[in-house]
Amino acid sequence: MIREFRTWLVAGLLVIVMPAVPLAGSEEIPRLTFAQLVDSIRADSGVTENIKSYNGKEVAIQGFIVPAGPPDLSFFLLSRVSALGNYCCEAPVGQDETVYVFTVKEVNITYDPLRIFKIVGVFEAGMRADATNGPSLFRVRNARVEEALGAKIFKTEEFPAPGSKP
Amino acid sequence: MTILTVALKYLRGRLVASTLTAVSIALGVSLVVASVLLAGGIKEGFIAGATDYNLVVGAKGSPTQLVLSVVFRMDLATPNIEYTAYRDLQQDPRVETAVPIAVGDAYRGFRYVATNSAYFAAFPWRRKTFALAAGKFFADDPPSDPTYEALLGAEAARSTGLQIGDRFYEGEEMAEYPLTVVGILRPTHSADDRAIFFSLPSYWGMNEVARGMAVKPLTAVLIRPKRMSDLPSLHRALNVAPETQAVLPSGVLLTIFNMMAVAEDVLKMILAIVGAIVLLYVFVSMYSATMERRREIATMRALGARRATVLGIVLAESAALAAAGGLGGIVGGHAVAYLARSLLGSSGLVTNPFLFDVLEPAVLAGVILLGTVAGLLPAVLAYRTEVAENLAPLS
Repeated sequence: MIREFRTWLVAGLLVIVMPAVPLAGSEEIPRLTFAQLVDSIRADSGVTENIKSYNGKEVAIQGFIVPAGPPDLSFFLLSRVSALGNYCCEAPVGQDETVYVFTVKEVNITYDPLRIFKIVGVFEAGMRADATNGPSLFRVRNARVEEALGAKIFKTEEFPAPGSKP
Repeated sequence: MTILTVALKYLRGRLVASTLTAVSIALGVSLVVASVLLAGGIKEGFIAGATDYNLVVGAKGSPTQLVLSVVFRMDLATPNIEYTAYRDLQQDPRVETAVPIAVGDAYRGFRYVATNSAYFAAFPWRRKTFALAAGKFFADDPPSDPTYEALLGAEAARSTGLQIGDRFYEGEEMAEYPLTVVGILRPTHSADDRAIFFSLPSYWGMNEVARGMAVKPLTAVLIRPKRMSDLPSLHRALNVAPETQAVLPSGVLLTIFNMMAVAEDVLKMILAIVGAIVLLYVFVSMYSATMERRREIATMRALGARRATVLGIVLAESAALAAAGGLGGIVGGHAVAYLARSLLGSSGLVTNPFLFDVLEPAVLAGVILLGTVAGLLPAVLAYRTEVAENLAPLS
């Protein structure tokens, strides 16, 4: 009787703990920033070996979605700045700060051009051209789209006021 | 006799009540199936009909109106821009292909779309292909010598009955400038099936105001950039310019999908209420049937039927009703979607009412399960029927 109870207890705990295992793994996915991508660019659209070391690996990148492809978002651009805010805040970026994102299936998100999304997928760096989407420097394939959590909230004393001298 | 045969005999015994219950289940299920099919179909129609071009440039105004009028022909045209905007974009080093579009007027509701041969050209990046069912494409004629040749979309040709060589116009003022049908396109399953295409010089020639203009008017320019990463800068530059706006058509459609999602949430709530009402109806129907049959059940028990058998018979009745209603509902839902397609077809949206969703077997299983659950309490009542109490003399 006790043995049976133990078996059920262990099985129950496994059921509770198992879903948490992949979640713990997903936290280990390296996050690349647009600053890292820009720093990696060398002459003639070359990229550093350091950034190439992420090729074929799953990475996370955060940015604004530019729906450049079909409306099912099977292909879109991920940009450091929002493409659709005409008057705020920075000039549009080019090839160096744009990631070409390919998803396996239709993406179902509440699209907001002014919201940052997190893209997780297999990274590729290096100039490549394809017939459908033209040349690209950075790509993420088999991507999934997640809502990005906001940036850390700073206390006023932790963060200098805009324009103030350090 | 098996439990199922007895249950079916009972259902046949009260045919009218059983049929009404099954029909009410079928109506509820068909409402759910039709709603899901149509909501999905409208979205698919928008996705399938979306342009292969990445940017639509037009006059300042509503981005949604620009995309709906130029891509889906579902709204009035936005104000004109100058033809020079197209020339400038053609020479922009970031632009691979620019296609001018002028829309306005219609023949029997089928919109006139003036453009040039680039609109129909095959590019490696294009999903959509244009092929002729008959005749030829219209000529890229010079502005001084418009040919007034028309190319009909498949649906426009079918509905109007126009054939190669036919001349047509709509409105008295157009009688001097009739169009001649030179070609008919194969179906593209997009809004282009409902369009009548001809050249820009023909469009300007037909329009009294445009005839006198030194710089000719356009409604929009479709843009394909050389590099996708140039889209944001093109978009920004054209929007900051005082006379034009640039729109990412997929961005507009995603905003429409966001609005549709809100409507879908409301619809889901309504469907959940409908489902609850249907379940309640099944429960009431089975409950009253069980109460009416207490004497019969007691007789069965007296003749040796076990309590579990009685329970099984009532549950089998509920399940059979739910199965019949569920199947009827799925067929009915597709039929409603088929009827609605003809209505949506006139707005340029395409849906496929025959598309069988993989979730439909799950819907049927769910309906049977819920129907059985609705019959659970009446079944328990039948299970607990006391023989002595219910076989007592009636008078």
